[in-house]
Amino acid sequence: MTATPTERYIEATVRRLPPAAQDDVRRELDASIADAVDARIAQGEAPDAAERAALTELGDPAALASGFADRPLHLIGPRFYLSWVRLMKILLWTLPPLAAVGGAIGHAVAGANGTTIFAEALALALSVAVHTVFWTTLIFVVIERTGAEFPATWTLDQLPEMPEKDGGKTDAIASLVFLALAAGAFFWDALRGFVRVGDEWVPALGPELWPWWMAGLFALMTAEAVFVLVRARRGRWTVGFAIGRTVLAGLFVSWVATVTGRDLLLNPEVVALLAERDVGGDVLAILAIVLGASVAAGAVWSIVVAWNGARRDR
Amino acid sequence: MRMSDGSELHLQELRRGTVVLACLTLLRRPGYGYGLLEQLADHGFATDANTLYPLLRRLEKQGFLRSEWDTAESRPRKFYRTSDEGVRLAEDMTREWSALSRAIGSLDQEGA
Repeated sequence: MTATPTERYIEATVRRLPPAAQDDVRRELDASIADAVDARIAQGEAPDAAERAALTELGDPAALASGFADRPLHLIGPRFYLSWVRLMKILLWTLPPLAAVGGAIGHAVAGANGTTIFAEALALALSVAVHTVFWTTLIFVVIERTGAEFPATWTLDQLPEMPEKDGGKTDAIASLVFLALAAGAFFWDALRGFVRVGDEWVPALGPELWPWWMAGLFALMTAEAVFVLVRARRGRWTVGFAIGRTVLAGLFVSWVATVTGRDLLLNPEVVALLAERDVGGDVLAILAIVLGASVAAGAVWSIVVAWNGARRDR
Repeated sequence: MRMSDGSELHLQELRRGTVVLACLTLLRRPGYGYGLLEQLADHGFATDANTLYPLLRRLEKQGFLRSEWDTAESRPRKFYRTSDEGVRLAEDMTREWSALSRAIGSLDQEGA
């Protein structure tokens, strides 16, 4: 004999409940549904139609079971949602980028080509992001269902700072000071030298950088100085500024990548001196990769800040 | 006049909780699931079965209702009855409702 819709409905509801409650709910639901069907039949409905209508009225057995078991019909409720969002933002802004940089450095050190490095770093970042979202959410879902207490009370200390109260003036001053110091250091290096080889001072940077590569760098630095001044004068980010920041950061990264890639960055005399002291080409290659990764990370960060600012100040 | 979804939502919000009070009050005399559903409807507290049945169980778990199986008849039924604690809760809720009602009345005077 095939099961009646009522039997199937009750089974579908009850099997979602803890064993201790199953029998009680089964008997009670059985009586309640029979009462409802009888009432409909008494009003002139055909038995089959009455049963179907009564069950349809009760709705999805999964929802009914959640009601009986006092289970929420959401993954993360209002009590934990904001904590989840905050944690997720922090984790997703840190872990995948760190993994990408780490993976890129690893593959670069292993001598992989550019495409492989990029693809592997991207794949690693994606998989870390997926894992981060999945496991963090899972923990919150468990917390939501076990009714655990959680220090989610908001305090005044959590208020964020006002975005760029001074419209980027502090940033601009810091940038200008840094650019001036860097320019001074480059000239000092070229004219007097930073590294002592034997009895004399020699430049740390490769002499072939002068004049044209350095001219390019100084042009970039001048552009950067003008950029931060104009932006501080305007007092806020705009899409135009964000584009400018992106172009400048991109040019700077290409400059560093090119001079490092062509072995122009360091003075050959200094490289020779390092080799004498057992610092070989492999170590220098790794240092070059780490330098490149840091410069790229800094550039990406400044671009993110700029676009974020442009979005916020609109 | 048809209610817009927005105002229907607000009315539902206002009605929520009154079903608990109605159950606790009606069940001072023992009653069972479907019978209570009809009683509630008769008194103007239209409630869905899939809301009421879990609610009865929850109130029982919280100690505001007691239950007993009546197997004397051909169809065994679970009868609920309001506990002493449930009676006190119903009194508190009734007081709160009257206070709210007065408060709403005072709003009206000011508005007029």
